[in-house]
Amino acid sequence: MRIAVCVKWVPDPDYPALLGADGATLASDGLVFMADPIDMVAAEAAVRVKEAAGGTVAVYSAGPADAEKGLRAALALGGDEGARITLDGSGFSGGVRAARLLGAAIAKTSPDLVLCGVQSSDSGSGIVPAALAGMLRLPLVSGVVRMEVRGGELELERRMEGGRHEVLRARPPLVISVQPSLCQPRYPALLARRKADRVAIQTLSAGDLGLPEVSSGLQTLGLRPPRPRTARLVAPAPEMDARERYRFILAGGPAQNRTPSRLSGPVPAMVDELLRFLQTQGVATVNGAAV
Amino acid sequence: MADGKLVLAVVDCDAGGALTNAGLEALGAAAALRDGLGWQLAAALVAPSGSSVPVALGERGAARVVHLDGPCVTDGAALADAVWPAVIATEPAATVFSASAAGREAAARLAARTGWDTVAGCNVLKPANGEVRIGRACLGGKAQLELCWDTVAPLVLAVDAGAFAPPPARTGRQAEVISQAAGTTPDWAAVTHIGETVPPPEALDVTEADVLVAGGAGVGGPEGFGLLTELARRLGGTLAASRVAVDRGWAPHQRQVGQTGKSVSPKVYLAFGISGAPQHIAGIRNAGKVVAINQDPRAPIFGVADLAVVADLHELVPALIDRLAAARQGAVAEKAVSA
Ligand SMILES: Cc1cc2nc3c(=O)[nH]c(=O)nc-3n(C[C@H](O)[C@H](O)[C@H](O)COP(=O)(O)OP(=O)(O)OC[C@H]3O[C@@H](n4cnc5c(N)ncnc54)[C@H](O)[C@@H]3O)c2cc1C
Repeated sequence: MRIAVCVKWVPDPDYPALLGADGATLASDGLVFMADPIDMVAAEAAVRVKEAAGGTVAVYSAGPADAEKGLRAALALGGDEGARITLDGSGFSGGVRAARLLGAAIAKTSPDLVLCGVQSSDSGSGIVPAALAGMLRLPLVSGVVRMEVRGGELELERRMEGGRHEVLRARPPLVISVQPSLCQPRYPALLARRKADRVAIQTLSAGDLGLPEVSSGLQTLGLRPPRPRTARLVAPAPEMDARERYRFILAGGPAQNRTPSRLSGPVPAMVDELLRFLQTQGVATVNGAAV
Repeated sequence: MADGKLVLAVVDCDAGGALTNAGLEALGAAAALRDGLGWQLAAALVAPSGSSVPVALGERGAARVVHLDGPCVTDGAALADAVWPAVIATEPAATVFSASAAGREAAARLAARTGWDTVAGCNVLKPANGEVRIGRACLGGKAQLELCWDTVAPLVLAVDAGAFAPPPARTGRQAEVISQAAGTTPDWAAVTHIGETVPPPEALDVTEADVLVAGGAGVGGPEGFGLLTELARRLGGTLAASRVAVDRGWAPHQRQVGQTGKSVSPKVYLAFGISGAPQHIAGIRNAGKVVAINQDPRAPIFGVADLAVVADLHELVPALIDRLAAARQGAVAEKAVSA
């Protein structure tokens, strides 16, 4: 099987001081960039498919020159080829552009399988997998948490809303986006890293791929502190008259008991309060009914 | 219709052909652009002929409704292809998709087809002076990204769930309804649905579970962790642990949450006997609600908790389990009576 993996070059998502003191700009000094951890999961999954079914793994990144380091980290897991498509600018704006560049480069090799993370850890818009599938005119199975090779096919399990998992049988070619829990990337041996360092990484530009420069109507203004979590307001029922609606909205929707934020005292009373709090969060139900 | 431009909302229906709340929220976001820019509001839906949804969309303020006649679609690839004729027919300046999985996939596929810029997960739309300020979350929710759209180059949007209210319905308002055949998709026979599973909560990875019951050094030993596992099972959640608990061998290392463990995003995180070291907190930044149980009222974990329970966990945990077990028995008995 020919397998392509997309690897984004991102600021270390676990770096403690990712954001500056204002909470609105990326820290400038000490910030470490790396291959997106979720894309490393995709790369590990690709290598496991190769080990089970044979084939090659090619890794792709659209990004600055440093992104080659991310490609080498992914290659060290057991990849064979790498290509970087030059893309400048912040990694926050160019989801569609990145997908078009990656798609054009990947299309040239007609892979059986294209793997990527469900969403990048920095921009996180989650556009790339579906846009890639659109570019390549392939089906997409998103959010995969289990992947097994069964003959020439794959058995996939993906996570859906509400904790349900869907099991699918898929015949390549297709695009798969992976969840972090799919697998744990191996720790590459020194030898594997040395080998990855010797792989020649191709550099391609939009021009090489025959993609025209498109003017963008979007301008990135910058980062802001996160929005406070908005309280969900339930829409008033249509049969309410204007005054009832008004009262309903002012009351913040259906009656809400504000739980005291601090509990202490006798244990049985605390247990009651705690369970009541969990129920308001939709937890602690028995057979679907509230405890 | 100040400059004759149009915003198109792609409104999802469910498998039974009924309007979804996600679809109405997409219409709400599109209505915000109509109101702020003076554009025309159009809506596209895929439904079999005879559907009552086009009328409902007119009542909710769509001036034009493109009814794409075809079987209901809940798959992103099929939705993108099905609505393509509506995009051709209306030449929208902006196309707004819903937050559903299908909506988001269709938005990205439309973007790939057209090369139009796209913002997914949009939670703010502020039109003013012929421009639109657009916001969405990034960095795993740690920051908000702000963008400005010039309204000249066409744009594709997929909205964030719950960010826009459905526009109100007013009976009597009518849209001009255009019916045309839905676009068709190549048959993806390549992917077949085999089945669905609901994995037992305790088998879930800590990154997947909606409820996490986490234990720290204060739990005191493997027996305590046995009780937490039991509690997790009764709450439909799974077990997590601090590093100290993992280092002492009370919980397996895949259960560790924090800087050197996993970052988790459950709806509810219950922390039992965890002090709240920064390295632990680093892993629960994206948790919905945090409930902390600690006997030390000054424990740092309370600083990030939505509910602070000052108690000895050795008393509280068994009492919680008893209470849940009793409630369950009650429910079973009730069922037997009503049957
Ligand atoms: C580089 C580095 C990386 C690290 N990475 C991680 C990581 O990924 N994850 C992580 O968790 N830690 C990590 N740590 C360790 C971290 O600093 C803390 O040491 C650890 O989180 C503390 O674990 P704890 O809260 O379980 O234990 P403690 O800090 O010992 O807290 C125990 C708490 O239990 C309470 N308690 C005791 N008895 C009871 C009772 N009967 N009832 C109720 N409450 C009780 C106490 O009041 C106390 O608050 C890291 C440290 C370093 C230096």
